[in-house]
Amino acid sequence: MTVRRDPDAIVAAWLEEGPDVLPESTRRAIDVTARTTKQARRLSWLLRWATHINGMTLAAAAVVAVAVGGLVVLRPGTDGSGVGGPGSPVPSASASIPASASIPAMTQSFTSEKYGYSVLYPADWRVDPATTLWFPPDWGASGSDMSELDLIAPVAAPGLFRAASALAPDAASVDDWIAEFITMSDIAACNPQRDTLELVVIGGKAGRLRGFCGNSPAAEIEATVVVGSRVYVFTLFSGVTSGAIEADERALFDAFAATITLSPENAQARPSIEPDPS
Amino acid sequence: MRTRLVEQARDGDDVAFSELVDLEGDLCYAIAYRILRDVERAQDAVQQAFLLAWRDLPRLRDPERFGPWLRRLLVNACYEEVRRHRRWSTRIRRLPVDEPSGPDPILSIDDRDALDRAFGRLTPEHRAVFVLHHHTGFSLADIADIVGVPIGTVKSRLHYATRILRAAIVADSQVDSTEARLA
Repeated sequence: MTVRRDPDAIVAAWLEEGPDVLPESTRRAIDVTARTTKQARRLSWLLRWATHINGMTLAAAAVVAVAVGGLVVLRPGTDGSGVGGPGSPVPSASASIPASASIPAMTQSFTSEKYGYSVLYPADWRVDPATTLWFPPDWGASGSDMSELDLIAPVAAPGLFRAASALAPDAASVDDWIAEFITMSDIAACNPQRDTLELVVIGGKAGRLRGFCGNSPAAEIEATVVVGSRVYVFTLFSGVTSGAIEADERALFDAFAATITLSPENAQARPSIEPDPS
Repeated sequence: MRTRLVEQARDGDDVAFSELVDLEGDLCYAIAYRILRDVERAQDAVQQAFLLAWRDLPRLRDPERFGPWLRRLLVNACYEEVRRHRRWSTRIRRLPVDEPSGPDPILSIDDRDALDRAFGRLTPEHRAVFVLHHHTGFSLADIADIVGVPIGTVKSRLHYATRILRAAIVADSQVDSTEARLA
């Protein structure tokens, strides 16, 4: 006589077997490691500030950042008092942010060892290269892990230029894939079909540009460029409170974009993943 | 409190980080063990995940996201462990060890052996989804967030892994009953 057995109960029992308490020796090893390992550099003021924004996108954070004086440094012929137009509050913090009458000169060069591109950036901006390789569709899934992105940010002002690239899956429509996994504005209306977006040329290749949504918060400009099966993403976070500043932000993005060269052959490949048998 | 600890650790406070290890370490270890089915490799994966967490904490934008972020690091560390030791694990059969929770009477040695073999044939991606769902109890959305794939892929992996493990038990039972008839 055969007793009927429940496979799910057996699997569950098997899964429950095993240790549930981290050994003290491992805890100690982690403690020692933490005490002897240097942490990565902190990101720009903008990102730290954004930690206090719950449920908002980085772009939304950037909107307010600029409201306190951010990219006004880029506005030709202004001393910063015009941010947001007449009547807009200008917190005193703006006084500590250096003003400039023009787009800063792109004098420094950065070549991404991971993502296959080069870009020039201003002397008073700092590069924080990605420390781990971006594996889509992780892009912005949590909005938290910035270690997968090359980040270029001003040393003493809000703003952030980020970049990365990855291979799109063969079977997918690149536009659909980008729409689903990369352009992830929290505002649905700010995510139009990619093929309806403005055409741009970056590194000699045609791409699409998603600009300001029209209503803040949506303070990012993001271009996606597809070279072969590699998708490049370049984003400028800074912020806007008025149409006039939008133009300045676009000018800054264009200044970055004009210096970009693409070399997909130099991008790091994702480590091989075993085929999904399902 | 946890958020405060994350903020302090992000500012370089290793004591706060140690408290986070106390808070999260057991769960991480339980997950890692069940993905890897090996005590030492699970410890290595946990240590690696916490090392990366410590190193990259300053780049974590939202302290509230520490948990999912840490578990993603952990799962990635487990993937690496699986791949690093795959050749070994296909050749060396792990002997059962006495573990704190002890063997469950519902499980026969043959069950355990069949499940170990079936689980060992799953990819690390399938193992992770299965463990996160059936052992840890995370929702499919949470798992999608942790492993960085769409929910549909999570469902697919979960279905496949569950089917493989069920099949291992059913096949094992059929062998048992055949042997009983022949005896």
